[in-house]
Amino acid sequence: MKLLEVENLVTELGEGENWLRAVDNISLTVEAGQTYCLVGESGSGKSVTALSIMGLLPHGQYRHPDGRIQLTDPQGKLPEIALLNADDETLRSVRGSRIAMIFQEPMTSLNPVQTIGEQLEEVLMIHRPELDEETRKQKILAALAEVRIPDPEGRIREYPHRLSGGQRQRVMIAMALICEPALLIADEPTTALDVTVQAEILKLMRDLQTKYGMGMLFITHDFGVVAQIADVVGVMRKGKLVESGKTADVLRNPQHEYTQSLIAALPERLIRPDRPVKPEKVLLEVKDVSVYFPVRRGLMRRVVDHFRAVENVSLQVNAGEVVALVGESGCGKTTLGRALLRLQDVTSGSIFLEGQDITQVSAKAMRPLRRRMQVVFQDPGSSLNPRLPIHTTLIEPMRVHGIGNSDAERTQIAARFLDRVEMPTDSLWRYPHEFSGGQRQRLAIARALVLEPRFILCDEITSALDVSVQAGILRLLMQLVDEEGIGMLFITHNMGVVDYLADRMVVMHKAKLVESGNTQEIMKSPQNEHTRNLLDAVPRLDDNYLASAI
Amino acid sequence: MTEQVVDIPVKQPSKSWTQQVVSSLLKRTSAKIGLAWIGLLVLIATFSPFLASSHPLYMVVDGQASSPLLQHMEPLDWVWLSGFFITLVISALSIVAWKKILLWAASIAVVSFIAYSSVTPPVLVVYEHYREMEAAGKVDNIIRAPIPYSAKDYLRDYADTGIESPLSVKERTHWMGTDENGADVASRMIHASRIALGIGFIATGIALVIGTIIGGLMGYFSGIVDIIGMRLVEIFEAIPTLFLLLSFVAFFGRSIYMMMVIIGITAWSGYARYVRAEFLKLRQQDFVQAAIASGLPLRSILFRHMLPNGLAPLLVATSFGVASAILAEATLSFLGLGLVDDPSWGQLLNQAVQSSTFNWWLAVFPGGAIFMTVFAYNLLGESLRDAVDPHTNRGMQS
Repeated sequence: MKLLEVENLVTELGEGENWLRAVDNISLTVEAGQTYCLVGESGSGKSVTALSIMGLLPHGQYRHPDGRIQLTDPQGKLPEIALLNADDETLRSVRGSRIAMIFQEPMTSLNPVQTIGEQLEEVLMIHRPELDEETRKQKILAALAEVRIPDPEGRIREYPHRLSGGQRQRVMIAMALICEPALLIADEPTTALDVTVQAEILKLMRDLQTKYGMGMLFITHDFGVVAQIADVVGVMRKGKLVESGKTADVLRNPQHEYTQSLIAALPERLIRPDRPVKPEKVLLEVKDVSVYFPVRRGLMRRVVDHFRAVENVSLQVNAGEVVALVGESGCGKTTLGRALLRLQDVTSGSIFLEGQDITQVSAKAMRPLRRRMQVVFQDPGSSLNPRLPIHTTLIEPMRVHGIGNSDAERTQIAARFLDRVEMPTDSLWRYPHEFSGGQRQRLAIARALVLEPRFILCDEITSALDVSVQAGILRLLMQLVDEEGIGMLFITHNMGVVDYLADRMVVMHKAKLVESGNTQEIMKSPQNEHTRNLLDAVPRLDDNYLASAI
Repeated sequence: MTEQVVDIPVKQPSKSWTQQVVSSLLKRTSAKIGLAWIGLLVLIATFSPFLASSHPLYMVVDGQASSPLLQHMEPLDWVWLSGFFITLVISALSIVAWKKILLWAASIAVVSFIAYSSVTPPVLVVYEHYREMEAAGKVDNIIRAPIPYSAKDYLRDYADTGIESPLSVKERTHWMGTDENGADVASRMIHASRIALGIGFIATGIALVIGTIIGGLMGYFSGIVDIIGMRLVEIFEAIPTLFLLLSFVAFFGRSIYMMMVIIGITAWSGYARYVRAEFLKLRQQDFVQAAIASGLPLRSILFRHMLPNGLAPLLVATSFGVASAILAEATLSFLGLGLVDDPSWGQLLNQAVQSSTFNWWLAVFPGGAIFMTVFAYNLLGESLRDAVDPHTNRGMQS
């Protein structure tokens, strides 16, 4: 039963004379009760395809030289509609009632100045004007109960900021499904969520799909998610659909070389190199560290309570070893990392770097010590100073710490490290905006390396990157640790990365350390309940996880 | 680590952010118009003694050649002239921006010192002198400025002078008429352009320096420094600039420098707010955290890593600030509380409404100049805002 047919869709974005082909000749069919997954790296045109179907591209800045999008009703009651280049009136009648859409960012997709109830009611008032107020309320409550929002009666009077990210995404789903659309388009609906929440949302979406027999067009970059939810998968690259077919076939036996390389780049599929045996030498030791933030209230800003970000955490990083710090968002991983680097004052406990207590060292005395511990951050967009050429960014810390005698010598050192992180040496004279996200992360690693540190903190450094780029960075980090004997604390939420990179892992939950030990052992038999939940929630590409083909 | 030597390619500098903003700015028509007008104003202000003066540029009397104009040049005229050429030379030098600014300030200070200590123009100026000599046929050869009247030449040798509309009197050419004292309006406007430019730059400069320092400290240290700083900002925002200016003029007499300082020290609060907000945001940025983690000194973190990144909104605010400072001075002069004898656009505008008849040339020309200057700065500010904003920038390119 065909629901949506896209034929030879071409979408070009731009204005005036400059047009960029974002979607190039794509054909796909979504059937009722079936999930079609579009998967690809960033910039491959997945979202533009979805927006073309909904007719949501910015007015006057797109054109469709070719293509046809046909929406049919499986029951045959409603008319067949050509969506491409349809007028606003037609599109408005279709949007929300026959096609609904869920977006990636739950934090911004709800209107912050209206209550949940009002926003849901508005959809009903527009698409189902025949309903009276009482019926509308009943429908809203039923929809919220269906997406398993606790206490729907109370929730409808609340504003979006009172809900967590996962709950907001549930409300979005409720809003999308309240008019019982035949087709649901979901654009990376779980990317911004924690793995455990993601697992719940995916399960919810699957259940609702079975119940209503909807067709679903699901956009994601994560092959684990594809394996869990998709019946049919299409792999996109640079606007083209390079491969499509039943999920099990494509994932088990990819035909196109691009699909093959994508799957091979998944951290769980990367070939693990032999690790050299290292002598056990404690590099960084953390003893009972707590970080509290004061909660101030009232006119006098008195401290009424403390927010406990990190509580009594102890861990240890040896030279030449990667320790992964894992946990859900908000569990205090990043705060702990910042505390280790003394970017954040600790409330109690002590931190030893190569046997020296650095917990209470003054900011001034800390400066020479900073050479020994460096950091690489998550966001490639803000990790380098946009106003300085790479040369200055790399040379300045060396000059401050007295590495090299002249700037010529320092330039030589900088060039050598650029070579080390596999970047061309002429990057020295360029500015950050000329590099891609992955390249910027390499440059940020080079900046950390020029000081020849003993310890590097990596805070989610690959989570904003595409899998193939991530694979390159992971390989590089592994090499650095093995060859230079650097100790590394790797903060992440990606279990595949932990499995590939980490010798030992530490799991945090709600500011406390719940489990630590050898990575393989924890992965095999987690002792703590939270660790188990975390591991179970990870969408994996193992064969037994593949949704059975229909 | 292996000690191999890596080939370093020759430096091929790619476009820095500043260069990108400048080139994107120069693509905009509104920015071009704004810059053209301001450039014209700078040229007029610099060369005003040569454009409009009763003193002849070159004169031969009884076989003796002389240049009364150069003899009568004020120290301020020399400072403007040399300042103009110093700016040209320094902007051509290839050194770091902050060194340029320092060098510029130092050379202006030196030049001012030399000018004020060595140049002593005659105290008594008799403008009629040249016209009388010419009428008596003593002059063999004379080259005059394009507008042969000084700003304060009230044409006392012509008995019938007073307010005249443009080109109404046969024997004298006043392109823009004269004011109520009989002085040439075109000449007064040319000389007044210095005040317009000067008050804009100096007042905004003072505000910018104070605002950046206080705002930067508030943003970086936050906490108690921020709380005290913000209260200070609120106090200064509550001061009505115009009334403060009026009371200062009433108590201490009329001085253009006092006006500049007062406008400067009341206008900084806006800049402080901008810098504070930017610094609060930047402090959490990864590259600033990485700079702290690299053990860089506070000076470098503040001035190399934070300030240049927080400058964009400040630049925009500055160009609007210059416009409002010019307007404040014009307002004060219009109210008759500006400068007494020295020319100013607002003061000319004031004369348009004071006499019983409406003197259109005293309203149109100075009013037009004020309008164009404020408009030019606003145009520049608008285009600068678009140039530094990546969102509107993308719209331009596509």
